Amino acid sequence: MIRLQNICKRYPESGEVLAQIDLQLEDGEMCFLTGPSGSGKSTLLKVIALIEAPTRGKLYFDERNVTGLNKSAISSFRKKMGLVFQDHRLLNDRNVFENVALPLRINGFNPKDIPRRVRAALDKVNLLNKEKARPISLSGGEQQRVGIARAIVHRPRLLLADEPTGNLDPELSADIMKLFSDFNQVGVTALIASHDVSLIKVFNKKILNLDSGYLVN
Amino acid sequence: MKNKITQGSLNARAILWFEHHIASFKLSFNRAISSPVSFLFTVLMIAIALSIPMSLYVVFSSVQQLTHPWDSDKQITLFLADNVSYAQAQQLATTIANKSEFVNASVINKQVALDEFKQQMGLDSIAENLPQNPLPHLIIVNPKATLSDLESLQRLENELINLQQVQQVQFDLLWFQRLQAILAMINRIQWIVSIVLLLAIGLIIANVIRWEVTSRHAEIEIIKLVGASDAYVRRPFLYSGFWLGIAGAIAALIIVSLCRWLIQHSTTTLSSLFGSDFQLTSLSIDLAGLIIICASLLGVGAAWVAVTHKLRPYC
Repeated sequence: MIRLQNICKRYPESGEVLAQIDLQLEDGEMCFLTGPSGSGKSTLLKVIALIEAPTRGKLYFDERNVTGLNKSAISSFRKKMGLVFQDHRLLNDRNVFENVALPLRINGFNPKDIPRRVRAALDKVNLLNKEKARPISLSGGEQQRVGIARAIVHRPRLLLADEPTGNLDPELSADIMKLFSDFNQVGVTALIASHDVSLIKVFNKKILNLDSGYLVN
Repeated sequence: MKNKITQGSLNARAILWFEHHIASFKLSFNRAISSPVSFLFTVLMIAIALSIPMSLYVVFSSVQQLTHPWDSDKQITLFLADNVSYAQAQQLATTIANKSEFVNASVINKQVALDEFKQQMGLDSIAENLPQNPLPHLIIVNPKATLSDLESLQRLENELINLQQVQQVQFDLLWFQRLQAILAMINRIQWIVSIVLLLAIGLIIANVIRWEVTSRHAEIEIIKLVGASDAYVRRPFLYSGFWLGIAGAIAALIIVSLCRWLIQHSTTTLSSLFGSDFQLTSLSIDLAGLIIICASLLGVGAAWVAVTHKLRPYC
């Protein structure tokens, strides 16, 4: 589904962050991306989500070249994916329900279906009783789960997660990884960046190791 | 994803688009009233800037109303040659009156004129000593009221001078010219001031919206990451511009009406001392409506420019 061909990313201030990345992710596959801090994991996810344009190389989605798309095509492309960030990126002036409903409203889902879908997503992350709360009043783990509910509520084809367990205790981290694995089992393709090797080894999935901008096996 | 409306009919997509407009309309209103002091300050700033060209309009149209009677009272006096008889004068008057540019033309017999002259001036003895009547026959011509521009009046004057029987034409174009020049100048000033101030209002609104976009940077970034288009992000800000424009226009109308009401009494007293029934013009409902529509469009336009520019770095 996703194919990266010779992707390079260079920043004027920090030099080459990604060097000649060749990567293929099949439909329905789940894959972990690991590597030390500063190895380029976040940048690689940003390139795939078209948040950053690669300096060189090509990115294919369903065998269609998506490098250099214009802004409106990028927004349509992004509607097919769910993004989870380490710092949650929730809207603090809206409650949990509205935060999770955001992709549905942007994607143009029928307003009558929105409450049902939002509650189903919140149920999956075990936060059904918090729908009226403001994100600021939740714990770090709860906020992360709201972020995950928002990423999966519109049933994206691709799920990208950048250090989703970064600030969480081991037990909570395992729960969250289990959630991603559950989504993958219902057909969502997932690429999860994490530096917690011991945690991801448990899932017995493909692990990509990124080091100084190079993919190493 | 069978429940997804974007894959459905065009009609359903139009409904969603409309619903997002309603949501943005409400959201921007709530944002405006959630910080009432800053909203009020901006609205007052816009209102004061807008009330200046509006007041100029009130003053200018009042002055025009004052000059209107002079305008319709244009009179051209034709002094005929000595050898033109009264019958010939009457014939000429009929010919002139039949022309489309004139309303009427009447002859003043030179004998009648002399009699009037005698009566008015009390110069009977001098006049009687004259060997013959020194006055020619006169024709008083009234051009149509619609002919009010200087060029056509000058053309008319030339046409009359060129008539064979006419010795001299008296038409005080100079005062008319001066009046027209003053009115044209005020009109020009009114336009320049209006354009400059409208530009200022546009800049005020654009600046407020730019600030709003900056303060919502994190929110915009998140919404864009979830897949929102620029148009989706832009919409609530356009409505913010709309609210500023419409509220500014309504406040300006209130300010101008209040000023007019405060001045009204003194203008009435002043004009009654001059024996005139002059009154300050009021803004018509149509014009007030037009101002409100234009100001809201200006608000939307300024917001569009500001947001589009600020959204450029977001991808």
